Amino acid sequence: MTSTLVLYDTTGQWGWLGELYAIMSANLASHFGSWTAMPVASYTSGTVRQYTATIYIGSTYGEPLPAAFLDDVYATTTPVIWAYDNIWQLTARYPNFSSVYGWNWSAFDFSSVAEVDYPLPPSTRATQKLKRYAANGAGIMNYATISAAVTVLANCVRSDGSTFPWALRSTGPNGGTLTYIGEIPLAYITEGDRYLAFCDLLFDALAPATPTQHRALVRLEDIDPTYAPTGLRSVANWLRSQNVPFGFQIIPLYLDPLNANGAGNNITLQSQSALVNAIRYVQSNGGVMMCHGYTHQYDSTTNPYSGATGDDCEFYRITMNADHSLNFLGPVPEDSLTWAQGRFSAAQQLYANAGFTMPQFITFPSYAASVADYQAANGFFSVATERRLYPVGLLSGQSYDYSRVAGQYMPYTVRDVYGIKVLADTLGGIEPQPYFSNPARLPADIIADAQRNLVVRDGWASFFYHTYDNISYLQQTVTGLKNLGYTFVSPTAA
Amino acid sequence: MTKRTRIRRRQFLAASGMALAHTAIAGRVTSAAPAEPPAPPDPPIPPRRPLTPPGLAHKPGAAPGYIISGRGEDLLNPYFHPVGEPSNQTSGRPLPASGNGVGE
Repeated sequence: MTSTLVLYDTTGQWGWLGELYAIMSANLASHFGSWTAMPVASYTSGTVRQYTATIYIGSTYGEPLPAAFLDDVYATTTPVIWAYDNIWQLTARYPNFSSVYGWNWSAFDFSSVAEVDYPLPPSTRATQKLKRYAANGAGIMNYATISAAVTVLANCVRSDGSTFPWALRSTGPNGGTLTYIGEIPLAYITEGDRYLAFCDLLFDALAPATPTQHRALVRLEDIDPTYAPTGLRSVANWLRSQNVPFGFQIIPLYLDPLNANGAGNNITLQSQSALVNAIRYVQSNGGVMMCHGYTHQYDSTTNPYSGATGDDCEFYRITMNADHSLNFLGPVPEDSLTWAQGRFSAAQQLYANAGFTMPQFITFPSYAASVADYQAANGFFSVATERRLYPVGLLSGQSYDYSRVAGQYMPYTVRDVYGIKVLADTLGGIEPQPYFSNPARLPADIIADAQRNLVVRDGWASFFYHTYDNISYLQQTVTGLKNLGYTFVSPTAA
Repeated sequence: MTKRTRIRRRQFLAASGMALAHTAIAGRVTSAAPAEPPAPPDPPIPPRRPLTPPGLAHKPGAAPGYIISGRGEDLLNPYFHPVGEPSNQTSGRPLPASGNGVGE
């Protein structure tokens, strides 16, 4: 097993960003083995040598880096990945840096860059055009010199088509590699983003012998007791005919306290015998049941949409702005470990009343929960299949600060900082209709992002589908992913 | 001392201070290259926006779960960009934290 040292910045008004980026890096590093994260300011001589590889995220411009860290990076015998700021402290301490490593920085380039091409030759894998948020104004490091001994790993593509390196690698005086990424790859993340290049570069540092393979997961999302069992059976039949195992999420209690849907209220799973029979049928045809919360809504209020099961968030308070953007406010007022455990226990009882055992998989409704909720889930489930939120305080040991939060999707299986196995969730879901400022997300969009996702050499294409949508969307997506070379596997094999 | 002289003296002191600082960092200075690039701008802070009036109809016929599931290039979306404002509060330096790999 490998071990990764994650070093992060802590100073300045934005020092808290360092902890969030360290959490995200640690989550990814857990795919390969254990990790230790610490402020770079705490670095002591020789620590780099104690780990398989080191990741330093330079998020604070001018963070005072210890001389011991700079010396150990320069003389490293193990892979070091350095992102963004403060590389000039290394080159200042070693004026011969450019002659030894073969490159030197020049300045941040503030061009509009909406594409990062990765991987590049001499890699034999196909280059993909990864997305990048063009309005990201943080700048990307550009270079004064790059010698032939340097491997350019990825290129930024400006709006005029010109390019400059996004990441490069060369070898130091003692044989260790230094991979430098010219920006923070852990912000402005979307599906198919250049974040995936960072995720893949970790293989070079931590598991270079990993063979290339591409696997896929599909989930049937948001099934509550009001769902039509015929649709569920039809989807299961088609997936079975295609030899596609799948997960499906069951919400065991339907509530609609504000009567948003007019379909009734307080409907339990066991009261819907046709749906119960359909679920058994689905299970016998390759479906793996997953828990998707107790009610998938909160209390008797909008959170943020309608108050109805399937529409609203259950474990986190969310409000909506007039432009339909959302505010992730934090835990609901009654949130605690005990409160969350109570909801899972209630869900477990409802599953049992319908004749089912508690699923081993959890997907929190709306991909939002508190630390206490995630910790409570660890006592009921063994795997999470979702994206997750991480507040400041998780690494630093300080009180959790829900006003400073990052979310993350994984490109491969990890054990996240909450301590549970988390499956990849790379592609999101099919949304046939636009919703205010959010455009539709059609099979072609999912497939295009899945193609970009191929840059992760042992990565996953993972998406979800609502069974009330036309089955042709599912069929197009599954077929498209297979044509890209993905192999669908059961969530239990992930 | 004229204003212009004071400015020159201030510039000299600032420049020599920078040079000394760089010398302290580098131990030796032999390169004519700049010691550091100009600082990039701070991360953006999402503007505060008015809340939607109550009673807005949700998307008919489909749960909008994915809409609040991290979709959207919006600075309020923590799955797109870490959410939070700058802070001058300082606390003690965090201790190292460790975790296991998924196969452990």
